[in-house]
Amino acid sequence: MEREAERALQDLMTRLASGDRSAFRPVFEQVRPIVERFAARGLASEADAEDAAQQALIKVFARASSFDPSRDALAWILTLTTYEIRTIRKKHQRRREETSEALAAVAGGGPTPEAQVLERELLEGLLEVLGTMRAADAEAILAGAALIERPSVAPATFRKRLQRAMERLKDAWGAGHEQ
Amino acid sequence: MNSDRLFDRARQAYEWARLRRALPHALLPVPPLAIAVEVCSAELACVAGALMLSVLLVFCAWRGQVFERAIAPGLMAGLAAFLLPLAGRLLGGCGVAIFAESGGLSASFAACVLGGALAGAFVASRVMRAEGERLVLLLTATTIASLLGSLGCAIAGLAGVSGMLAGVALSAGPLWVWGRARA
Repeated sequence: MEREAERALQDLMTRLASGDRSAFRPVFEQVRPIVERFAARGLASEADAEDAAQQALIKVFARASSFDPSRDALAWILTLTTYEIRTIRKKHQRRREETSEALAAVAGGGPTPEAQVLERELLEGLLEVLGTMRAADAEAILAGAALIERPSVAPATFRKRLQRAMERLKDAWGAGHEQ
Repeated sequence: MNSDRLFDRARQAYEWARLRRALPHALLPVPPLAIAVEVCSAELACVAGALMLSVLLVFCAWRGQVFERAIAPGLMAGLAAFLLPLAGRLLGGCGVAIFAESGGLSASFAACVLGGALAGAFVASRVMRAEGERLVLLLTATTIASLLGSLGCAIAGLAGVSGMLAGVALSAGPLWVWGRARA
């Protein structure tokens, strides 16, 4: 997203958070294609991507009043969308795995329920921190984790972006989890 | 889901979330109401005033922008108008009559006028420093202050409430005009 458009979105989200209803339609028209594109990258099925995009869009507006203007609006929106993408992926994963399969996996040395809970909590913490970072950094990290498609840049350029984003993620994680 | 339906659902989600966020403001008048009802016999008037204040606070928080910004200064100003007559009560009795029968009630009445004047001056001074729709901010904050003040001024009866309102208007009005002339 271009800088000008990002700044405009930031301004619109700030106004919407304060209760300015005239910002509603412009935010809807700007955010909807962003969320739809992002969901389409994260989910193979068109129907699933549409579901995730709609849920994410509704969540963006349900939480708009508590949006903190000091945060990056685009990254915040992408974080909410990522939650919806993960929710749908998990739903599919649960359908595929029967209880006996899960027990068999544990018996066969797979992850324990405790390990799965820890992994889920770590992932949720990661997503929360991502919401505080710049959109470009969040995008690089999500692409590095194969949650979204890689941007079309040279591999060496992407590796550098990812490396810088990971350093900033470590700083942001450390600052947020000091206690 | 088509675009219009999605838009409507998103709009509903936004408005419901704002309303849920605003509802706790309805409880803000409860502590002053409890004090007012304890001190004075004009319970019905106090409850009516508190209900109106609750509705106004929820509306302002839900509506947002300048209305939401009026809540804090309105409540702070209203505290003076609420507390002074109660302090004045310590000097005399509580009355529901329109006219004072004793010096005690005159003290409450004077406290109502003074409280109203302080409230109006406080709101006007805050509004002059604010950005945006100052008149709406002034009117909303003074209404909040007046409703809160009326809970305390009910101990001096209708005269007390009227005196408080007059105090608010006579201090906020000229300050507002003076502030605009300076700008």
